[in-house]
Amino acid sequence: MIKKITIFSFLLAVLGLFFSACSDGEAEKSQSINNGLNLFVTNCSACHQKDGAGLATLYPPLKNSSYFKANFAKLPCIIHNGLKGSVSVNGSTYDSYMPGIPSLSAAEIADISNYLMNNFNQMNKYTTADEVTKTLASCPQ
Amino acid sequence: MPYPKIFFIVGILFFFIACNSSSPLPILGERSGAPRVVDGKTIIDTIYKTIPHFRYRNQDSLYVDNTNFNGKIYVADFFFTSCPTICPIMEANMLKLAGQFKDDKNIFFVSYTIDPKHDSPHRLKEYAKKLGAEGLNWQFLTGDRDSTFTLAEKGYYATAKSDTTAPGGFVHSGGFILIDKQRRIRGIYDGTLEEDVNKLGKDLVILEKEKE
Repeated sequence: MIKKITIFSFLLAVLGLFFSACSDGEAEKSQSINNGLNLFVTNCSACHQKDGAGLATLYPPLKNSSYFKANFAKLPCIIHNGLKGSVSVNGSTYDSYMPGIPSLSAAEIADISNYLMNNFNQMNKYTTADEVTKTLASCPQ
Repeated sequence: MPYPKIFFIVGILFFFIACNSSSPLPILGERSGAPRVVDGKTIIDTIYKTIPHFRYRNQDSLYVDNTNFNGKIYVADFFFTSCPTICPIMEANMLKLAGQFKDDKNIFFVSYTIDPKHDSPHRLKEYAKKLGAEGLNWQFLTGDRDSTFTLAEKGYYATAKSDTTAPGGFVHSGGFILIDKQRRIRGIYDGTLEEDVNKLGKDLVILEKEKE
């Protein structure tokens, strides 16, 4: 009897650990996206607008953006260094200069990326500060 | 007795009518008294502050000065095209207003650049095109930088100066300044706040109806 209880409680503990580990992952992701939302509003929404729709042909949209989906791997470099030159987004051409924000940390860039990838582009992708740091190490000059 | 009751009701009605009609806009700025004598009596005329003379090139490289706005109402602001912080919000709001009044030949919008080194007429034209401001009564002006700083501060009560520590290199207020047909300042609004911009839209209508 005691043996059964012991095995049962052991299994319960393992299951509990399993579920808490999973929900910790989920909690981290939603926390990152939440942080990303606040960082986006503070650092990016002046030009790209709070709803990510952009403005005329001056500032491109970030929401449901063809360019974003094709170039999300470059996001850390774009956020850090800015972007010059002509880009095509959803069929329109944008040729303004985006200033970079080198003061944002890798973790902050990861949070903004997670917000943009998931809330604005439904990509179900997640990046981390470590991945961002790696990407930043090899940005084109 | 019926009469006092009627007077009371009429009085209340007048009260409501008076309260619902929009009050005239204030005239802002310093004012002085200028005495003159009429039929042996001294009358003091009020001299209001007016926007000083300016002469700038616009996005089509044409010279624009005060006389272009004689008898017109306009909204002025100070910005620069590479500004990363408040300008995008201001210009987006200015765009909304300019669109609202695009068929009104009496209302203009004037954006002075405080970075003439980079914001040439050509650059202003490109910016105006991308913003969707072409075809609107909107002048983008470029001229001597220091005169523009002075015009902003003394003329329009708007801050504008260089600051190497500020993002973009300039510090400036997000003010939208409302100027009437006699070049007097009738309101100063925060161009980054939606409520202020909405109020400005309403005040433009009030100002236009004002009898001189």
